Amino acid sequence: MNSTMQETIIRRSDVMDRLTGLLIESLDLDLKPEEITEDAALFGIGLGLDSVDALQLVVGVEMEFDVSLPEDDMSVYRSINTLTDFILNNTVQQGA
Amino acid sequence: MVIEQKELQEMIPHAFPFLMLDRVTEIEPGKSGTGIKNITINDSFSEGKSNFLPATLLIEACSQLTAVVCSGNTDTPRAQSRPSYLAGIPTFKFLKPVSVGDRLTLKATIIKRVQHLLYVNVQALVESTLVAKGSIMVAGQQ
Repeated sequence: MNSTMQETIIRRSDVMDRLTGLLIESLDLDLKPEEITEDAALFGIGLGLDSVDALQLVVGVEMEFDVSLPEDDMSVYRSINTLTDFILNNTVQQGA
Repeated sequence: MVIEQKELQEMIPHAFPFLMLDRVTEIEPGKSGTGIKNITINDSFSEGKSNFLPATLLIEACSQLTAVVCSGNTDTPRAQSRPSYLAGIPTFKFLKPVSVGDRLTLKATIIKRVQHLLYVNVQALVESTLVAKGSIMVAGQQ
């Protein structure tokens, strides 16, 4: 495994950890980080978030990661994985 | 653009004694606005013994200003526009009491819109002193 791939994995893991923490803290979820899987649906039968939770999460993510999330593309909000993908694709790596 | 109370009554469904805005002094429709509410002895909350504006009514005043900002312009009759509803209060701090005789200046700035939901930062000032600040979420017009 080359260093670039390792950096990518570390960065992705860091974003996911921060996202999970943000999710629990900002929405006051009664869950532990390890109970939230990367592919768990944020809405519906997954974590069961509602649209008001979503807006609060969006604002929290924008402040935490200094990124502007889309207003209409709901596919970004499907899971921790999809949110992480968007953040990684739309932020500049620190020190890069 | 200044919006007087008579026009405000055409823009939002609230009426005396629950209309918590006297005038909107600045507005950028869909983005931000500034409004004024003079706190008087004739306000419904002061009919009891308290001279202080209840915190809940301060939030209501901020929400009504937000509704005006969301409603766009005075050319849209109320009957043709869909009302906005308070959907959540993520944070709100009350820094100083507001009492009869104070002129409350309210500021609302929409910082994020996701579909029909809005996240709005609000502030309330008496003269130049910040008396309350926070954020509210509003289910607006689609």
